Amino acid sequence: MTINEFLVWLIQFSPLFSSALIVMLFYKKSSISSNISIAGIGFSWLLSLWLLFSSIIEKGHSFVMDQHLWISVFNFDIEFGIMTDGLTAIMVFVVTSVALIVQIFSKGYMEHDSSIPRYYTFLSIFIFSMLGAVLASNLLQIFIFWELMGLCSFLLIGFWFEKPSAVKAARKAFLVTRFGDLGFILSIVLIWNSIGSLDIMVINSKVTSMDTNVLLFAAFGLLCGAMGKSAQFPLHVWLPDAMEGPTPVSALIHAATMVAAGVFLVARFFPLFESVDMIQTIMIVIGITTLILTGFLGIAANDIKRVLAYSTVSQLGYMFVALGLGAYIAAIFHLITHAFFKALLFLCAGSINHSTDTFDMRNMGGLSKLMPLTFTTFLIGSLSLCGLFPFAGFWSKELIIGAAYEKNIIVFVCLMVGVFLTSFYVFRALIMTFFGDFHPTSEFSKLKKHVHESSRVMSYPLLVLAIPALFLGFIDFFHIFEEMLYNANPYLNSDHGEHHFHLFIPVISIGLITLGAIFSYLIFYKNYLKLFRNNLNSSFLVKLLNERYYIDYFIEKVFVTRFILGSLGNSLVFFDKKVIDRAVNFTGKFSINIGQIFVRSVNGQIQFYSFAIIGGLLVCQIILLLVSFYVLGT
Amino acid sequence: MVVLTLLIPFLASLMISLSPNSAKYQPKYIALFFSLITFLFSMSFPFIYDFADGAYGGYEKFVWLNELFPFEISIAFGVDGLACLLVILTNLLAISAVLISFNIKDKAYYTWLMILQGSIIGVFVSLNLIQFFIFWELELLPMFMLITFWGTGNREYSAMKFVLYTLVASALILTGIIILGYETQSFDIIQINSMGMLVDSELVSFAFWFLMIGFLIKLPIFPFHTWLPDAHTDAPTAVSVMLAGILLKMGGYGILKIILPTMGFLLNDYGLLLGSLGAFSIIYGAIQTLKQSDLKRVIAFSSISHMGFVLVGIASNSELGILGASLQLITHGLISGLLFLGVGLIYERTNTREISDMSGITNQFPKITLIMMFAGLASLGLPGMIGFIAEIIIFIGSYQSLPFVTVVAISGVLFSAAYMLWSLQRIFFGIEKNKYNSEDINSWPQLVSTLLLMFPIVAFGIYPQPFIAIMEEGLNFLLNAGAIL
Repeated sequence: MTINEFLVWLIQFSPLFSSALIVMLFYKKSSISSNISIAGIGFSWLLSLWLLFSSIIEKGHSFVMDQHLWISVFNFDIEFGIMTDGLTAIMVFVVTSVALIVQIFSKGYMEHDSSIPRYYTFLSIFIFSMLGAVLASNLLQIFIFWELMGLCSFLLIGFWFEKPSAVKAARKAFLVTRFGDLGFILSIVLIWNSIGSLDIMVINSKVTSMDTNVLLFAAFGLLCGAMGKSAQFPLHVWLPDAMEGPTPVSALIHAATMVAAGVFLVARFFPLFESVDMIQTIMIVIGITTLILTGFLGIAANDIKRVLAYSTVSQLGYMFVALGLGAYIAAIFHLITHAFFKALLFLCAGSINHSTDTFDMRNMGGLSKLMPLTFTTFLIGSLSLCGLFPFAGFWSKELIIGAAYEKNIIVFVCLMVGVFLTSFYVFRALIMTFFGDFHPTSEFSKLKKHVHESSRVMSYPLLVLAIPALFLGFIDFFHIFEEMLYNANPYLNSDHGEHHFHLFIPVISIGLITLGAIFSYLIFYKNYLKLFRNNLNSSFLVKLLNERYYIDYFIEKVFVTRFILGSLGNSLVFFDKKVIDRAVNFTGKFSINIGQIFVRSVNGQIQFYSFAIIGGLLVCQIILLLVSFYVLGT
Repeated sequence: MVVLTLLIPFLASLMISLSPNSAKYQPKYIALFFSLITFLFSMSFPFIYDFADGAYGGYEKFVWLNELFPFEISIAFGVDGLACLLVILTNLLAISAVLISFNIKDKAYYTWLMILQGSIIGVFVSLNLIQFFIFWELELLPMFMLITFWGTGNREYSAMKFVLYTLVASALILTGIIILGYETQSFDIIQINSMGMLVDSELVSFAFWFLMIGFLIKLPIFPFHTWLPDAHTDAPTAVSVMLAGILLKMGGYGILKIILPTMGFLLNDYGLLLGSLGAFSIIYGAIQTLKQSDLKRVIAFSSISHMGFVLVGIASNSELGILGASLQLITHGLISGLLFLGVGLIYERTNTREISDMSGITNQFPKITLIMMFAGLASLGLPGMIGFIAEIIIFIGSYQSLPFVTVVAISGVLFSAAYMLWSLQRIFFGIEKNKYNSEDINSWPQLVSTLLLMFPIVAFGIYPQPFIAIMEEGLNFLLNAGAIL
């Protein structure tokens, strides 16, 4: 039986209701509020299963749902509704699944926090907005939930608001993504003015009739929005800092769902992007730049969450490359596998942090014996991330690399470099965290006995997430999902990145992964670079990586502090105070002074007045005489 | 009904000033009672009147001066959709203003507040230019008194600056009105609007610019804005609320109601100039905001920035642009009103408005934090709140005729997020600096005054259609006059 419209709306609104319930009734009760929130998302998850099955039956074609008039004024009609195609169904399922697991994990992770109801309220509203963006049938509707996601991300990054660094990171995340959203707004404006509708179906169907310039700018604007949310170079700066938020939040928002929304947006409007070659090239270039630059940053980071954050940005780069290559299905497939294995990795990091109280890998080591379950699941997630056969990541990455091989050999080589980098930083993280022994200088070596495996509420979610990280690659054996995604968009070009299977590609990539692992082993376990280490630390390259290529420095210190707040701001303040306001005050004083001159004439002396009258008359007479003589000539 | 709504505040001011000095007849309760009545009356307008096709509700006309001029001068009252929403906004803000000043006991204060409310309503319900001008001027007196006697800081300077600045505007407007009256042989707004566009002449251009600059001073738009930050900083909370919430909107209303239906065609020539001025104002105000240390000045400059959107929308001379601009008048009224209420609440507790003096006060004042964050998010145009709708409609509407101006205006959205979040975060979050020996909001008047404004912000943000529909009908007079492109 196909799901009906009301139930699809309920998928989206059930988390909102649970958050409303928490705020209104249980804002003081931690455990009830978490249970309500989990129940709300659990309900959504069940319904999303139903939606997924309905969509499989329909083979991903969107089934008709009503549109509801939201604004109707002059010629501006905006209808809101639900898109129920294969893309939506799959995304909804992924989002609710990860969200459910993360919510359960949070119950353990946040147990000592004093503001659990606030946490669950924000998290539920986030899930509501994320689902809203995925289900939307109108560009404006996507934008509304897109911004609400940004708000929730802001609120959750700054969840521990006493920490100045968290507060700053929250602001940075909001503003950088909003910078991208300027493009999004512009593109809404352009599309409306060009075709007079913001309905997704209408936009995709009218791509061919749009002016090429408008098309270019509209696609570029949307791409800017996507780059902001998906943290693509040069707007990637916010994501590493966003790790200030609670770890489950990083897992859900900053790894699995919200950051993937950019990829989703491009996929949703794929006919639009597909029709402009330049945009596709831009996407490939941005994707490659991002994945390689942040791959290197992942090697330099010492905070385990930051390593994972850079890895997220890097993997999103893969998805953008795939989109640029036209391999729309590969991009979405990688989005899905990445959502699971990256959420798994983050939750593992959370589990580690919960027992060691640190994220700094230099203080860790030897955790494999103390936290065997976390270690095993982290290993599964890592291998999946590297793209090793037969883990989930292998299948999705192989699709992207294969598409690159057939389109452009340079792109292919760059992606392969990315594979090596990924394996290198992943194994570095694994070795530093789980192998060897506690770092001798760290305080935690004294606390060794306190480190323990996490409680069941935290470790079971890890196990659950390990399953898709292992097996998700096999799921599309019968090409059901491929067909669903393909049918989701009736206006796609016929070539959607299908490629033939080349055996040597996986062989090369597995070779590179092994190479990366060996390098990591030699450098970080055997310490073969010890001799150079002192030189290395002061070398320009290491400094460049530690300073993140000076991009953050340039944006924050040079552009914002020196330019906007510094020279420009100061000169405008000076102008406001010393020029405009002084002119105003001058006018006032001038009038007063003029008045004071004439005030003297009002001195109460009759002689002066009569003198003035007679004098004035005389002057007038003379003027009249002169005027009549010279001007009139009489 | 309209005339009654106008008279009640004046009646209330009379009653307050004549009431006996006893605990039984506290002026605040009289003021609250009458502002509630006016609000309820004005709330009935959308239900009892039909604004379709730009019709006026509650129309009354009295002949006033018949023999003195070549044409009659009458007194006429009535509201269309636009005026109706502005009157409702005025009365809503008036209730909030009364509630927020509940610890002031002076009779004179409430008397002036009621006169202020009455004269503002007068501006919006007047359908005669001379009468419009009289109410426009009348509003200065209570403002001057309220700032001078109940203000803080350099209040005499600010009050005087406000009055003189506005008088310059008034002089320009009066000149414009007289030219307009002689050109059309009438001062009756309905009659003038029904005549359609004036014939282009030098005199008409003069009238256009006289009126335009007069209204831009009130709006205010760069470079005529410097009165606003001073007036706000030194005004008491309730006056700031009225000033930002309603007084600025009189400028926009004047442009919409008087300039556009008669001389709108001049926007074809000057639209780009005015639009650029508006866009410049958006960015200029926003950057000034980033440099301010006084919270009230931050919000004052943000008002200048937001009023820039109004000018951009109007200058585009398109249906949606003008609609968005009119919506922005209302939305900004609610949002900035709420922001100033919040500042008042903070000031009452911390005795400072310097941002750098405060840090991490959310632990002590969680409710105020919530209110201010709500208002800040609304102000930065978060979807789901009313400000977003006005802004997006302005952008969509003005792109066709002013593409580059619109692109600049869009970038204002980033700036507003930057200054709002930055200022609010510095105040509320981070390390707790001081302990204040006062409590979070614990009295009903303060809570109600903020809730009154929060409700429409979010309700019409989620479902704006009823509100927009009234506004659409309210702009029909422009379509009828052939004003919009």
